Amino acid sequence: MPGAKVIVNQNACIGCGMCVKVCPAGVFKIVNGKSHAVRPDACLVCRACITHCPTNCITIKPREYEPIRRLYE
Amino acid sequence: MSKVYLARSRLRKLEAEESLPNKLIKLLREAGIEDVIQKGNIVAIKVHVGDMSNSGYRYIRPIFVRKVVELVRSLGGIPFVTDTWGLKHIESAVKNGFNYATLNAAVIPANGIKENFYYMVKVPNAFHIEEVQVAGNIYDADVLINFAHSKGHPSCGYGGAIKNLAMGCISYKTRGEIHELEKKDDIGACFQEGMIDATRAVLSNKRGKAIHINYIMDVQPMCDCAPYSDNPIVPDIGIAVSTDIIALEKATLDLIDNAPPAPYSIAEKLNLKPGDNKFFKIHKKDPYIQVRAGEKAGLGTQRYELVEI
Repeated sequence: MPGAKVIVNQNACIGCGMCVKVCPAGVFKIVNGKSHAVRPDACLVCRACITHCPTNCITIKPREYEPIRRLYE
Repeated sequence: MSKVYLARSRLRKLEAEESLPNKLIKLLREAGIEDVIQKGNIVAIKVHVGDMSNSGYRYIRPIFVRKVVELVRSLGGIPFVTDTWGLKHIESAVKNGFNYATLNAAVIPANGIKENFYYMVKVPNAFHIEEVQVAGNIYDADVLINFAHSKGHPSCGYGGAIKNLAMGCISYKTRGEIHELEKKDDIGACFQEGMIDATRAVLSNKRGKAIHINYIMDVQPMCDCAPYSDNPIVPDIGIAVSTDIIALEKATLDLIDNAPPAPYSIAEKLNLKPGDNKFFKIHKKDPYIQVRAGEKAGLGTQRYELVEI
């Protein structure tokens, strides 16, 4: 299943809202002038936010799928 | 019955012509690239240029892409090398060894600097996705050389020629829609059918103008987009080429499944044997679903003749 750890560097974010606009899954929300990943479980790992972010402040770490993750434990 | 041309990486003689980059040229000629490229054609060479953090390393070696570029130029074509995810991915491509200096061709984003350049293509009788946003530069290219790396993938078990087009030659919106399909079942069936819808759209204006390559080397368990690489699950096999994408994928999966597990790999840890459906055992997703769905959708046939050069 998709889903990811989505990190927004709060120091670099300028709150432009581009990630909110392009995200097909509603992961982001602007709170107090900064973007926050409020629904990371909904992330589809399409990386549109990374492509569009003008300050390059978003990092996505896809959640590893259960079958393969178990092989590396 | 479709022909799939295979060059094994194993050397038969200590000669330059026997080395795989040179055999790739021979393979493409055997597979009929001269009928695909006309003088003056703009030729897209779609590869996966590796992960964004420059941490993985088991993607296609740039020397092979350069060989394809040179062949395209010798046939009078105008090549460019391309991948998705916008300009930021092209920046990582440069660091991963894909650039004008190494390839002798421009490396450009498939669908614009921020993935907003696409054409909407309707897919009649689609499994799931009736409208696909096809990457603009892929759609506009006269010829598509689909140069894929065969490896494992957690969403569909395996990714090769089909996935290189389905997930790599579309917009972020269509990519999200295909990933959304993963939520529908546990074996990756809907996801793989969605990939077939997208592949049909990408190839919709490339009848007789596309050729597919599977680089069956460094067959690692995870995708080239992951920020890590692991040891290959089978020994290096070689490169396979066909104008029939379904025959190519079927032949590739058969070659990998019939191969012995590689030492020091996750396949060895799992005690996999020749004949096992290896990607299913690793990812719990059956990769043959995409092949069957593709055949059903009319993209090609699973019946192939393997021609070794």
